[in-house]
Amino acid sequence: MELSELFPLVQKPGRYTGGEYNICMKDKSAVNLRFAFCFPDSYEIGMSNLGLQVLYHCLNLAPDVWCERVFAPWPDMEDRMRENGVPLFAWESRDPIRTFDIVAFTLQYELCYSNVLNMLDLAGIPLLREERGEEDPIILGGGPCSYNPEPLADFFDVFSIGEGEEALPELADLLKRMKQEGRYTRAAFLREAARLEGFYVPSLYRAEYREDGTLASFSPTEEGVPAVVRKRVISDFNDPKYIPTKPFMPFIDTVQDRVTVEISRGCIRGCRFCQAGHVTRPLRERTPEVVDAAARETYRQTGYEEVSLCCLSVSDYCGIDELTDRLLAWTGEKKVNLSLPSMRADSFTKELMDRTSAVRSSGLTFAPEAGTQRLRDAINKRLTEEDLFHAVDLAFDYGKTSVKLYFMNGLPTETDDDIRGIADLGKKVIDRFYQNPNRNRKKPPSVTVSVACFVPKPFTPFQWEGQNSREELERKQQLLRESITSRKIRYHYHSADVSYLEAVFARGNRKLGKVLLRARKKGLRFDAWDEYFRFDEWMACFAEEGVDPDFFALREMGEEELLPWDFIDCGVTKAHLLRERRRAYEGSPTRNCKEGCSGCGADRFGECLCKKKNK
Amino acid sequence: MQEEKQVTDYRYRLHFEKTGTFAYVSHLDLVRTFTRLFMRAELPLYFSEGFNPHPKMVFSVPLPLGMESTAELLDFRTVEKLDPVSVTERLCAVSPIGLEIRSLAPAEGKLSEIAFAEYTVTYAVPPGKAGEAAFSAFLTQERILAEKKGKDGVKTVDIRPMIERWERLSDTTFRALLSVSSDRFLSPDLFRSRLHAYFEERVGGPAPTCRMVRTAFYRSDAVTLFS
Repeated sequence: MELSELFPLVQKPGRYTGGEYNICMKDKSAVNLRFAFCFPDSYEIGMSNLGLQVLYHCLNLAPDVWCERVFAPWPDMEDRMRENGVPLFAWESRDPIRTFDIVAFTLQYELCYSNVLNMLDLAGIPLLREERGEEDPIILGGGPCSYNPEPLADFFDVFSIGEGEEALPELADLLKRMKQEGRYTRAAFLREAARLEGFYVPSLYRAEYREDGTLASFSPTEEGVPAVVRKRVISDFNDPKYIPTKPFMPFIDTVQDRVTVEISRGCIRGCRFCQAGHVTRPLRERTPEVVDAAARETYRQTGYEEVSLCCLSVSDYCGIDELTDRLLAWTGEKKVNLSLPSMRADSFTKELMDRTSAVRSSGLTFAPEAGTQRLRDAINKRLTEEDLFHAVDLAFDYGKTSVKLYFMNGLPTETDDDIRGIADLGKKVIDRFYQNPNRNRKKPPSVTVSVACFVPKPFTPFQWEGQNSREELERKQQLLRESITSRKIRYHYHSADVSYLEAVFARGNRKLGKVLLRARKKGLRFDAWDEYFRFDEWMACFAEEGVDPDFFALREMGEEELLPWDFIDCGVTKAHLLRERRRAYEGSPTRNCKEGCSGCGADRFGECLCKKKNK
Repeated sequence: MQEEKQVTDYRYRLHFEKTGTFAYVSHLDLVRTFTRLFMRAELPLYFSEGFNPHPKMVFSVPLPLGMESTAELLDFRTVEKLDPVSVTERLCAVSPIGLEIRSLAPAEGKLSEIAFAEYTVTYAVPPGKAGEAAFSAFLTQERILAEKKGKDGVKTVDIRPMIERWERLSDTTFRALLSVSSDRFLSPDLFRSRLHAYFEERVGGPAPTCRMVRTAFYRSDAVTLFS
């Protein structure tokens, strides 16, 4: 059956039709390497991912490499595909991806692992790397979760660690050369890939365990394979060659559908729970000229009505005034909005507010993360109550009535007072509204308190911490519910079950492979979507495989212990993470990188902004 | 932005086709697609005043999701006079595949004057003698009852008065002219499903598979083309 015959049978066929504006089409006969870039979630989520745009662009720069997109078909489509024997295809050519040379998955969050296996199955590719033959594609993993690739080690042939702009074309080039020279076999290719910087080939490493389940040793099985895999960092972050200015544009409504330009990598803040802030160091910024030129060209190629900047903390960008001046010089007359995401309350100014379309929306969002100064100091979120009040006062001056506040519960050193502090902070923000003489008098204020559960992540100062048990997290959620007395505060919290599973896979090791395989056999998929998340079935998978999930999620790991991800050098050193952990327990915050270098170690990977500033 | 007064007296009508997978672009998504297409082509669009300025666009009768058309019309306004030939070229250069720009001309009258839409139905194989007999008998029925989903749930309506013509062009090609005015709107899907149900009843088997494409619009006399 033709794929197009399935379109009338499913919801939102626009997810599967392809043909979007600015996609890359190539002549198959002129291409030497077929690369499938898989996003293991829905089309709408995947099409909103900037990393996909960037790597699609970088890979397609080579005329004889064709990188195409693949998404997880929504269950209604998957069912039709299975009924009619239609295998998973690439969105550009509609060719089955099992015929490709490389099938890559971007691993954005742990709960998409079941989709990765499901997609391999739907593609007709053997799930286990040991079972793949010479005709099967090489399965490549990358993205944030590859900083601990071990739970997926049974399924992937190779992982790309760190930034992919230069690494992925290099890997594609190696494979292409070996095939052209007639010396390609899977084993030979993987042996060479393992010697490229930033690539990890799980089959070439052996993990041995102690009786208590912890790692005893982890080492390469042959000479010449590096014991430590160094992440990749691109040679010049300002090189415009890596910035996609012809992004593909979905026809259907997606989450992010606008001009987005990345302005910096790394974060000066070092919040102790945050993985992104650590693994993306060293700090680099693109110059305002480079960003503005990219934004203009992207606008010309798309006609989007909004320009947005992407980074971990936009108000920390050194050239923010110059950049917004440059952008506003042309966006206004073209009726293009400028939006600045991830603004921090402690560097939120009237000037920034004036400059952006933040003014047009009805509310603003800030992330204090914890309810008391003591806990904010411990997690190194140095936002003070005064900073937050200053920011909300500004918002209320502008006639805003709604403020969204993000918090976490279950953080290390947290007490019930910290939980009650969240309710208290929400109440104080409401009070600020009524004390403001310029407030909007037509609408009552509303504060949304949104609380996530803390998940310990590799390469953070909290990587050793045990997660609170689900019962404890739920008790704290209940305590907060009871502590909120104002009816003007709306309260949302994340599921403890979901966060628990996230922690299991975030800190897991190779023993989780068989659990994932069983989950696939039970048909688990789309775990990040409430309507498909089946916690009890996941727990059954662990029980049936005799794997204790608490061992990964709840256990405090020893500081001397060999951790599953210790073989990766992400830039920030273990010594720095340990120092930061100590400081957390002392309740001392650490200066940010602009104030002075704290010696995290990431400058070994390139000049860090903190060093430039201090010259 | 809001203070500038815009001169608005230029109204244009764009004739375009929706073919292939582009037929799966819904009406709402089409609005967004055209806004961005116009911005890429740097047309001097007229924007609505107010807090959230947006270009004003009016489309001809909505098309069911997945149905192709060679007859779609779009009216829009600009603040400057356009050269239809060069603008058509500019638009073609930045259009997605399946969205074919046919022509551009100053708009005359309103799209709401459209009264009928023409659909060309092409069968994969000739429907045969019995089939053709069923087709020609279809319109001799006094009433053709169909269930129509509306705001107040499902209603049974007589669609016979909304079928202006149903005629044979060749062994495999037929043409329907259906009312699409705002008070008497017959969807082509509903027409086809009633037609094929009648076919099955008379012939004793299903109608061959077909492709249905919207090919023209007519004014209320059902004779004058609307363009």
